[in-house]
Amino acid sequence: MRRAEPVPTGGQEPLRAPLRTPVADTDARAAPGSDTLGAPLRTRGHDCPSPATLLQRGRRWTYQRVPLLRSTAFRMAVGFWVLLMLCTGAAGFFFHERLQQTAMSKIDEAIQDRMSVIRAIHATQGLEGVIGLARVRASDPMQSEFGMLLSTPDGARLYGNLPDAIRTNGWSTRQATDIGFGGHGRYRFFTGMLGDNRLSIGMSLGALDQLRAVAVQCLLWAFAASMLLSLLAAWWVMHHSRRRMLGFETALERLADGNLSARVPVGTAGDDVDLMAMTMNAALDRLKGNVESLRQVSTDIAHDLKTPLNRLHIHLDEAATLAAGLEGEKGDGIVVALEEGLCEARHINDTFEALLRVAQIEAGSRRASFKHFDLAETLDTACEIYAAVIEENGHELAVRFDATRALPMYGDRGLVLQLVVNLIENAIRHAGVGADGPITIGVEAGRGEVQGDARDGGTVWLAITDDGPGIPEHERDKVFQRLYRLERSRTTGGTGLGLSLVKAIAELHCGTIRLGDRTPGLRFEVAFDRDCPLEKARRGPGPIAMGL
Amino acid sequence: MHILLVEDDVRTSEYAARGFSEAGHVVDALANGREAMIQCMQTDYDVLVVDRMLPGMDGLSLLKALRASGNKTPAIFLTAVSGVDDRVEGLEAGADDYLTKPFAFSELLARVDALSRRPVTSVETTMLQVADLTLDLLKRTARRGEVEIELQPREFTLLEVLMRNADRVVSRTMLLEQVWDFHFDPKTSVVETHISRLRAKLDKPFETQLLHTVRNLGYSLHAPR
Repeated sequence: MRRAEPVPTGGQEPLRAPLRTPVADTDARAAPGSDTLGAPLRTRGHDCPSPATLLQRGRRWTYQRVPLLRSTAFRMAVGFWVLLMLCTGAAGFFFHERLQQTAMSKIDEAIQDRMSVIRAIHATQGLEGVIGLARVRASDPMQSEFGMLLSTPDGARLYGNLPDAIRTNGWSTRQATDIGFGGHGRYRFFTGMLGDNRLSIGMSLGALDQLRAVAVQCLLWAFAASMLLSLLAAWWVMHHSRRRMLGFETALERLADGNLSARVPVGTAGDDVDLMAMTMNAALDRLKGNVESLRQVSTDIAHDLKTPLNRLHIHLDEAATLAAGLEGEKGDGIVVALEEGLCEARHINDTFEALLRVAQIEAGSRRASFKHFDLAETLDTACEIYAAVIEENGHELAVRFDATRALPMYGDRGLVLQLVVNLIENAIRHAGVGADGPITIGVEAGRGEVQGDARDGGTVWLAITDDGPGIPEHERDKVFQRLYRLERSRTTGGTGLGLSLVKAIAELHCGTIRLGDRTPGLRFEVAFDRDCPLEKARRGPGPIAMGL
Repeated sequence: MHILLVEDDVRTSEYAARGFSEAGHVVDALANGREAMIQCMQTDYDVLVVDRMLPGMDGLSLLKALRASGNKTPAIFLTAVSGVDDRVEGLEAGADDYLTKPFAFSELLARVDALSRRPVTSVETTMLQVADLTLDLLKRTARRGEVEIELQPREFTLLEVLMRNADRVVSRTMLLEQVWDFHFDPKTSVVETHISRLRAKLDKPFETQLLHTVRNLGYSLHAPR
């Protein structure tokens, strides 16, 4: 990559460079791990799209606070449970009402019967007969199921044990307290005419209330039991489908890591999920076949291209040796031309090799040889080697990290060293272009800390900074692209692959690159996830190199 | 020196064989891995130069088989593609050095020379000497005559590599690999910078120059001729 005119940007906030492949997101280091329900809404390197509507925002908000709801199965189970509860509730309510109604109509019937009986007695024996019978009944405790009140049309009590409050004609239901009775029961009354007088007959609803209490109790128990059962069922459904989903997730993650032989587990049931899994596996088989033939083609091209390149080199070298024997100016001219040709051939070869190297590193097979090493020591080595080189180029090196404080990480030391060297050399060769005087190249490093968390976040980071003119904001995304060069430095040498290699190495180590402004200058920051490569290495290599 | 060259590309094979002959070595050139295996059992070579991709038996298997049978002849791998893992794989199979095509013959010759000079028995020397320059590997000190030369640790390693290969050419890439553990080509003048710093300490204050530059290839440390 190359530098160009500085572009004023807001403050020192480092800018995120949106990169093509996974792990582009620096924030990812704050969120390691992904297959638990409690993890944030992302998988490595990919965010969910931002919610647009209020409904979507509400859902995101809820899911962030209740992580369990993120499981589709759980949500469905909860939905079914709520539906079941509504049904049970409605059925219970209906049952309760119907029971009430039926019992009440039986009581009304009984009151009506007694009314008819009294009317019959009144017709044959007159008012005296009615009162006489009532007295007999009142004296016998077994007969006192009903209460009655007989009064004249103007309200004077003729006989009865009911309070005067019962006066209105027709049916009424009263609370015990309303009519001056002790206790809490309810009473049912009917008031009708008996000849010219008025007769009220009442009956206690105590039995009905008791029945209702029992019914409600039964319903509540049934409700509770079905709630518990359906919750258990919901949990089981969630667990079961989660297990199947995990199979998919694991397989897809391995695929994302470049292991194209990963397959989705297929169950024995032959249900819709199994069918989907089988279709997916068939598609993966095809994909793997295509990629493998592509890789074969790449290898063939690599070999077929290297052989003539090698021969070209040999021809030029031999010709140069022969020409060296020629006398005079002409001979010298030929030698110079041939050496230039050799130089170009070497450049073609370098570019080709660098492309192959990036592709191989991106394929990830290097993870198999990962070891534990100290990033601080690696950086220290690079600084020691490059202090003299930077000085020789008229610039200055500023070591801004403590080499004695170990920064343990897991990876390929040789590749990480190359990453550091590439970044430093990039600064040496390009940061100074367009600068007024000598620039300072800074090397920083540390352990990543998750904000607001006592743990160290599981990352180590390094940064190479310079105070040169920087690069325009719109070109920053592109510097990691293969063969990309900033316009103003097209003439200087190099393959244009140095930063692609940096990116490939960073991603091999589950790292993230951030390209930020320093006003003036530029800051390349690489953060490595210390655990991620370990986890991936354990899963085993199985990568396919895609394309050149 | 008797060299066995196993290379299936005729053009490359001719190129290397002619170079070795001109440098005064005896070369047997073969194009088949299986034949090379048999040849190695019959003849005692000083150095093997083996291509990785060969008909009959590939270079890796050939070397593994040779090492398994107790053959310790120094071997150098030639390869078309410098894979990231290929170097490690080759070294694990028993190769002593590794060179990627296309290569300049002078580079191959320098590496073959360095290999052939490796002592077969590993008796460690603790003192290295070239003319009036002595290097004490135990005390890690360097002196020219009576004058002690102050060296940084990596400058010491650089000088050690040069002295171990005294009178021979050490190429730029060989220095990168052996001194700085760089298995890639830096875009800046790392080697040149450090050599010039070493030269300033080693040669500048003295009358005779020991560290010489070999154009287009590398450096050589030797007494004035």
